[in-house]
Amino acid sequence: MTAPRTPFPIPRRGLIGFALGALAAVGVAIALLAGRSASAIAESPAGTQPHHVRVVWTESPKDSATIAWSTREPGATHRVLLDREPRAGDRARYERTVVATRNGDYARLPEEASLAFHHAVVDGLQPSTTYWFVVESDGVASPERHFVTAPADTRAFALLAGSDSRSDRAQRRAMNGLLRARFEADEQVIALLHGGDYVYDGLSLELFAEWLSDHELTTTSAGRVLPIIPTRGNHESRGELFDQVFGWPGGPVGRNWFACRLGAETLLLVLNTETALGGDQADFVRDSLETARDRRWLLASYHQPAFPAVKDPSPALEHWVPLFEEYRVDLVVESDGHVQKRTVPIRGGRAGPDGVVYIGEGGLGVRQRSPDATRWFLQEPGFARRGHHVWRIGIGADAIELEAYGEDGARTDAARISGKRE
Amino acid sequence: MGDRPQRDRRAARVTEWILRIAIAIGALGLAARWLPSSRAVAGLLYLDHGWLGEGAAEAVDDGLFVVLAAAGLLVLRPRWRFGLLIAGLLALLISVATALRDGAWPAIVPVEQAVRYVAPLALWLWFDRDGRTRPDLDAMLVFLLRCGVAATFVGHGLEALHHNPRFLDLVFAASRRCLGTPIAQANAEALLTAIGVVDLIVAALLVVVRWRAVAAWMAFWGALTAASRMVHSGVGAWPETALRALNCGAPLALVFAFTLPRKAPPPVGDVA
Repeated sequence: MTAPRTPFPIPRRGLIGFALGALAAVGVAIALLAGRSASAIAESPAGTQPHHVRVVWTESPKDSATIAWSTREPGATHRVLLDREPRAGDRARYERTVVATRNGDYARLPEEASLAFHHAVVDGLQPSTTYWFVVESDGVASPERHFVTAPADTRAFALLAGSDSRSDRAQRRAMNGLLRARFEADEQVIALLHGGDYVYDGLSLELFAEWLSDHELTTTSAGRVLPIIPTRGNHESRGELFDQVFGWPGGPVGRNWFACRLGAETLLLVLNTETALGGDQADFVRDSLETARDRRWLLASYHQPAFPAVKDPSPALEHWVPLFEEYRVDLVVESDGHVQKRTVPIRGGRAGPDGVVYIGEGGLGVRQRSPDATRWFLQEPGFARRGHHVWRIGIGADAIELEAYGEDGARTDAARISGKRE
Repeated sequence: MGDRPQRDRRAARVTEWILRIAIAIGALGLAARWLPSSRAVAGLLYLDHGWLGEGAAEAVDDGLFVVLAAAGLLVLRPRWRFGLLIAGLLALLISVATALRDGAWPAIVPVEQAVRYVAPLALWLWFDRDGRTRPDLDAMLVFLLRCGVAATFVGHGLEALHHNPRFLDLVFAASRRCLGTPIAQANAEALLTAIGVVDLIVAALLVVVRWRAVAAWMAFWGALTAASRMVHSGVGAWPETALRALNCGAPLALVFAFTLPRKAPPPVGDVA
């Protein structure tokens, strides 16, 4: 007679082992998510002393800019004092006052201290003009700084481009030092095009506060602020901090795409790969490129690459690349891969002389990866390397001059894109 | 009366092999996607926390890839259980690693991927040491599969209700390529809302009642949504379709498993 079987007998050792493994995984997850050093907000100036001063460009930087800053306390009155002449911080002499119309507390994780944001949208500016300004909260003012508006004519200019600063502060600060050096040495540089992934956890105010402090390192010793054209990355996800830091560029969460007109001949589409790429956003790309047929230079920037040096292609390959090729976009700036890359000109899924060039992919601080050198679009004359870098995109009358610089300041790549349109 | 146990064991064999094949395809798809691009574990070890250098972290990933691919093949070996355990544990590891690196909604990742690790575990537990299915554990298998499949549909249903951007892009591509006409974003969002509601309803039904039609619908829908990845991104996206094999295979197995007796048969040799 056989021994009776127990109902629902399960190998106990197996289940216990699996349960322990699952618990260990959950424990690791909690430890990783909970472990975070908290100091950036505590280090912020007390009261309503303005800090984290930044200038943000979106659609029309020749005549408009958002000046943003932070304060520890929310305060009551916040404004920007602006002039076309330096006033050495003498607030009574500035010719113009702009009230900050967007004020509030940054979103934060439950265990984080609070910090307030303030945005003043300054319109009616003159192109290619230096504006000296101070920001003031409840009567407490920042040191005087200045920025130069974008041109409206056909003069040559340059953008610094990079992304994936992430959260290695030492490396990020080193790269910001490189940005400042390039900005100080190069009169043509007008702004930084950031392709996203500013910090590791885009929901953490502590991490974003660190980024904001480090971003101030890009201001020159003379007090010239490097305007930033921001893109949303996957580490910003769909959180509201990105919008609160950069003034809701291109619209609320779920949008964050816009067409930036630089000079008389350049259109830069800043797009968002963290929302649907088809549908409304693809319609926007098509409509913008259709109405920009008179523009000599068409550029685009977004985070997750269509022609990645390491990862799989993002949906941009399906939804946007056909539009880029239809309208003969000149240059696309991609991010996310943590490598330096420049593709061959691409059209119809192969190299072609009048194709679109894609550069990237994120070297402003994050640990770098080794590119997959076997990918067809990285073969010569394309290029890829492992290493921190920043791109200089020089827009001229006849060509786009591309240069990449490594963290030691040495040039690591150079290329030229000729015009496709008269 | 002797026919019933024979039919039951035929149904058990069909259930077993549907699951084995789906697990094997899923493991191979996961390995094929993982190595070149996803590298969730290497990303965690190197990029996010710097615990290992790039080379060492990728070596860990490469090793896991080999193990996962081997497990996928071993799953097809009759009466071998070990591959199932490895495939299930690695699927769970990748799910957790992906969740840790997912900024949008990390908690949903293990839920929507539940069938990938629950199904191999359930199958592993169903076998005795000789690799034969145990009739007294049929109910346990059905229970675990229902939980895993329901959780996966709940996860996807919630994502659909939240208009996951990637789901929207799949709808846009499917409309353009299959119907030859674009769909407006508002209509695509409405469609996703309807899909999300249906997913939640069938998940609830699967848990509450043993209706083969519900499991059959879920198998059909799992196959359709897995195939949509290749509709969107072309033949080269086959790993994205393959790694979702259990989204179809597990509910399909339930179609047959639902014919198994609900109660364990009496032990052999007992005399009332």
